[in-house]
Order: sequence, then C-alpha cells, then structure tokens
Amino acid sequence: MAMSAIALLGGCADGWATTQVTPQVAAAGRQATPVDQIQVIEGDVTDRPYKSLGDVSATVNKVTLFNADPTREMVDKRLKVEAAKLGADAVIQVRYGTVGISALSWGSLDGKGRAIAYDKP
Amino acid sequence: MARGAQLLTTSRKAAILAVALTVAACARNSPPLPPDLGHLPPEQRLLQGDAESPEAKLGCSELKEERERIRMAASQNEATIAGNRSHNQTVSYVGGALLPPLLLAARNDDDAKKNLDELQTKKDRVDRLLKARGC
Repeated sequence: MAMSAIALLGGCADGWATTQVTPQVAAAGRQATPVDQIQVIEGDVTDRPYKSLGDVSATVNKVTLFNADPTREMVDKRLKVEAAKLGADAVIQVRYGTVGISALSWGSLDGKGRAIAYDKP
Repeated sequence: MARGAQLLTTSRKAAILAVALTVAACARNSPPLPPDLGHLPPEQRLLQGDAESPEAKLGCSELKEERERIRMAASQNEATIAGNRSHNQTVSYVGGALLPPLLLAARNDDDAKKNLDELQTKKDRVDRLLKARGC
C-alpha cells in the first residue's frame, strides 16, 4: 500500500507547486490568455509599450525524495499559468532561486516575474 | 531512567544536526523583482544610483561585455551549488538514516548564494543602462 502510494506520487514528474499573485488594477476584468501564448523573458521589454498586471511567483517542489529536482522549465510553466489567468501576454524580469531543501520538500525551486500585457495599437 | 535520559539527549542531538543540515542545504529564494518602471519611456527607466554606478561609465560594447561576464559568473556559482547538491543529498540520505554526525558534512554554499544575489542586482542595472541608452 505504502509502496504504491510512493510510486503514484513519484509519477508526478512536474512536482507540486505553490504560487502567489499580486494583481494590479490593470488586471481587473481582463480575459484569460491561452497559456501557450505567454512569453517568458528574463529582462525588461523596451521595444513596445506595455502595462503591468501584477507580480507572480511560483515554487515547484519534488514530490518524494526519489524524484528528480525541479527545473526552471517547471517554474516557467507555473508562472505562465498564473500570468495567463491575469490575461497577460508575457512574464518579464523573470528570475530564479536555486534548488535545495525547504520546509516542505527535499527539493524546491522558486521563481518570480512580472505579468504584463502589451498595449494594443 | 538513566537510559531514557541518554536516549533523549541523543535524539536532541540528532534534531539539532537535522536543523543544521536543513539550514545548510536549504533552497535559495529568487531575488526580489526590481521596481516597475514600465510606465516610463525606455530611456528613463533608470533607478536612483544607476547613473552614479561604476557601470554607468561604460560604453555600449563594454556594457555588453559586462553582461556576459555576469552571466558566466552566475553560471559558475550555480554550478558550484548544483555540484554540492548531490553531495548534500547523499549526506542527508545516509546521515539521516544511519549516521547523524555525517549531516555536519553538508556544504552550505553561502558565498555562492550571496554572489548570485549580487550578480542579479548588477545584471538588472546593466540591463537598464543598456536599454536606456538604446544599445
């Protein structure tokens, strides 16, 4: 029983995550964006005007001791999901922590960024 | 009675070691986001202090070289932490299950974590200068 539970949890390759969103006024009433359309950008965007919708952060944790460590791609995926809910086009200024033990997991990795929507011409 | 007290002391020592390990091998949080300057035109997206920073004296090509140096230094620090992660995991598996004093062999990577935070601050500044100047 215990072994099958471990095997089941071990199958969750993407780990489990916690997310936090601090929406700004501009995010109110916006329609959600398809997740696969969200860009993840490490710096700022200066070639087109945008408005900030809010700061998003995500922490991905490995499920069991035996899972692989979470990756930046997993964090990006969670950031995109949260940004999509705000109706964003991109997450900018993205930055990451480094994997290590946390209070809740043998392997945690966090990342954060700012959800933005480009101004329509 | 004495044996019970001895067991208690041993378990307390093990708990202290476990806490020491957790602190030593803990995850590093991502650095804070810079202030939101998106409402300003790109050439004005600078923070107080950017103009007086050593990087402000650099030209476009030097700033780009600096950005590359920062990227490489960050990679090196990340590699150090990643390398020690395997060591720390092994130490924690074996130490936690069999030999608690082994937990003291965990590497904490404080310097590398501090360097990474400083490099991110520097990278943000260099990026702002590059974009403000239209490099």
